[in-house]
Amino acid sequence: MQAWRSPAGEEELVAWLRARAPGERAPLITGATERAETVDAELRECGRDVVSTGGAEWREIVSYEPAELVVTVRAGLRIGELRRRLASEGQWLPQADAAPDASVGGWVSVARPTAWDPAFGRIRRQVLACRVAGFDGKLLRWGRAVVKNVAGYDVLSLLCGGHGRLGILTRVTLRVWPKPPVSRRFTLQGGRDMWGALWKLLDTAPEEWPRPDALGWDWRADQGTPRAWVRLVGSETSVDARLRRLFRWAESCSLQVAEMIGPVPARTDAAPTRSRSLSEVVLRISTPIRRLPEKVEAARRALGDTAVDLEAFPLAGMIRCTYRRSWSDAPADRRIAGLLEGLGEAAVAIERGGPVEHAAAEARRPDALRKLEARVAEALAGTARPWLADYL
Amino acid sequence: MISSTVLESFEHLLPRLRRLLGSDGVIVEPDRLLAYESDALTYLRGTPLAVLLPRSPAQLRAVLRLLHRARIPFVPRGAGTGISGGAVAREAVILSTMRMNRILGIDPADRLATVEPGVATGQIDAAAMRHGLAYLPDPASSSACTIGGNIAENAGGPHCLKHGVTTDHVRELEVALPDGENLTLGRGADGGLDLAGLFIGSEGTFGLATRIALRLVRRTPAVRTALALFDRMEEAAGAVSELLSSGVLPVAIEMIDGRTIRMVEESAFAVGLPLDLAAVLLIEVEGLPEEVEEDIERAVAVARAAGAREVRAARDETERTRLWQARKRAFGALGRRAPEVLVQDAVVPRSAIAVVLERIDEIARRHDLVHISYFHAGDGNLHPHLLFDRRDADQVRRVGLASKEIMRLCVEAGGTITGEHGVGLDKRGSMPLVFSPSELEVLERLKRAFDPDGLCNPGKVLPDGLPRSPEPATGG
Repeated sequence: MQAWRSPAGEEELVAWLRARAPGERAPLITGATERAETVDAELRECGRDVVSTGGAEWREIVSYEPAELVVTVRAGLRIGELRRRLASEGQWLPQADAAPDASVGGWVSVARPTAWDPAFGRIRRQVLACRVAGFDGKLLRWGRAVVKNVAGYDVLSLLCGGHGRLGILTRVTLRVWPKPPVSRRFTLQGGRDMWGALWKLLDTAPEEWPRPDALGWDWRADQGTPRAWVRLVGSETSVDARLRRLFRWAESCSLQVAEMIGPVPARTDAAPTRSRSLSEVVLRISTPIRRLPEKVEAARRALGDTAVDLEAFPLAGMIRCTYRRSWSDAPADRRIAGLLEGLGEAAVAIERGGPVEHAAAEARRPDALRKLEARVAEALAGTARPWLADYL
Repeated sequence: MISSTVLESFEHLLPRLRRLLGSDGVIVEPDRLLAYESDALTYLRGTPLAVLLPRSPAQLRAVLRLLHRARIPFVPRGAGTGISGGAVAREAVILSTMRMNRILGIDPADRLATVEPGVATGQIDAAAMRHGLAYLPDPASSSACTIGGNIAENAGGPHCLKHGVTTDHVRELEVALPDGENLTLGRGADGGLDLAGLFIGSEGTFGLATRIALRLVRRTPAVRTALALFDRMEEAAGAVSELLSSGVLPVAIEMIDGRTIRMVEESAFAVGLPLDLAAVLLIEVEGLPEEVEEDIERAVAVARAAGAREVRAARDETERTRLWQARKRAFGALGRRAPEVLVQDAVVPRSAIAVVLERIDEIARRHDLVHISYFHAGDGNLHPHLLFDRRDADQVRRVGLASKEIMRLCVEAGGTITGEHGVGLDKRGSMPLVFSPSELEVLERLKRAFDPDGLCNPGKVLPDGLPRSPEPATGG
């Protein structure tokens, strides 16, 4: 790390950016780390400036209009704080189930796909506007605080999931939703063919479709038996109506349904995507829905006993795969290569990994696409190399 | 006036284009070009050099390569139903996608429809319906507008309140860049940027979509509709916010103002509404039968609590169709009052709807114009309609002035200049209301990233006079 910066607000951030030498490498951004002493080891070794938008000055709700279902926050506001504030007005953001200490800016920058996306839209749909400090110190605003807006080009689609490669988010405006009075979670286990059962569910006639708000399948190495899970949210009438349909389907497939009681455990893996020392790699595989089981098996075969967790989101055609690795472990190179080969043509994104993993995933992308991406990144942020591998 | 350079280049190219597309794939006759002089925003017009009609992505790319080499500007065009002048061609050829109109496949297992850009949006939903699936975005012109045009404008429609707009339903795009290069743009699933998201809504200024993969969803089995009648606009507008905050998420909330109602009732399209109303709200909910019964009851209760004089809830499909008539027949009823109508498009916070509509009335009065409104109240997406006669140059001038004032008003109210129709040619001048000079420069650079030579739909979206940045350096 060349320098640690923790500017006390937008003005100071912009002044610092303007004072940097032209052509200097873009800084790395952390929204959830407030002090240099607690910076992860990998950020210290990255050879770039690290700027934090995690200090107290960044943790503020700028404006909140519950009647409009719109909230504007500074980028360092913690997800947990946002959730609490929204809940006090009977509102929520379904995808904000990230670890409570994650920053809103980080949450938007990563835009991690979730099982809620098919029902509520991706994170991009929840983001109405952003204020961004470009690496040249210009402060730009994209979007407006209204739920429909097609003026100009959709720069927000680049910033959501941009991983901080295209500028530093300073402020975010989000649409929020009325919090449903009822939220219930169920697991489904047993039966002879879980995937077959899920296909039967997806093929259900419209009048029997329980319309799950989130639907997942997961397998954990420490548990062995895969299970499916469902979340239903809404009014009591709505949830009951859909639950009846869910039970009918489960019975027809000999599945046992169990309700999960208690708070949903917060995810702990909201760490940044860059890491030289962590022990787990998380990658995301996108594939046609009916090829999910094939890709799950391919991942398990390739990873062997290093596989930690595999979760699939059938409605989204997505798998999230976690496996153990160590930086000092030379076979790590072969592991990612073997995994990617086994996955064939499926699109793969590294959500958490090291330079080896990012480079391997990047190499799969067509050159022409990378060139267009470079031009777009140059146009927006003056950086011609928006590859995650370059940020490590 | 077409520059002689462009004209010469085009005439030189014409024989090759005819060989490539066939003689019926190239239109140059002046009387046939008349049909392409405008889109649905008829007061903005231009005469294209020609209209080219490729039948396949390969033909389209070959045409682009020829146009690119000859430095001939082009304007992508679907069905021409746009309302922003985005498909008007001045000193350019029109590149029509209407013959690229195949549904390539519906995959019910993967819930995916793959289509060419010239397919009418309504056809996609009809094809999906056969499998118990639905393609959800429903622009008002869906029986005619093309999915390629929807991609260009990021089209919405009455039911996007719940389901989102076009970009929320696109999985992948294959695009042809202005130089003919073919690329597949994903949604960042491979760890890259969401270039498809950037392309959608670029109004045909980045290139053309040649193959579109769309998300389909399971159809909902039940729908219920109610019409709430209000004596005061403030109460109708207040009911919109109350409804959304109540936890009922209607699939549509449309507002029709009193003037529109009177116009419809005085026409052959009368549906039997009182003439002294300030506004009506058309509220639609969908889901399972148990859900819609509960939701429509709550919606009726909310509307009554907000001050509705009367709420009519449809009991069957016939009644539902009758309730929608006022909304669907409004446009036809306008024809009795004026030969032309400018349908404006802007978005404001829902809490500002009543005040903004009143101010729009003032603007219209001041410019001696008739203004009516029916629009997507759930989104705050206003559609002020200004009636005029194109043959009256002064009236056209006043419509232009009133439009600009309306845009400024909506932005000052915290909104934006377009919710779904796009900027096109019509609102370029209003872009500085919502973008700073630095932001406009970035937008210009983004445009150049896709179209370095500025041949693709020139003169749209971005105002004139932006500094042209040098070619970006890439790599290294």
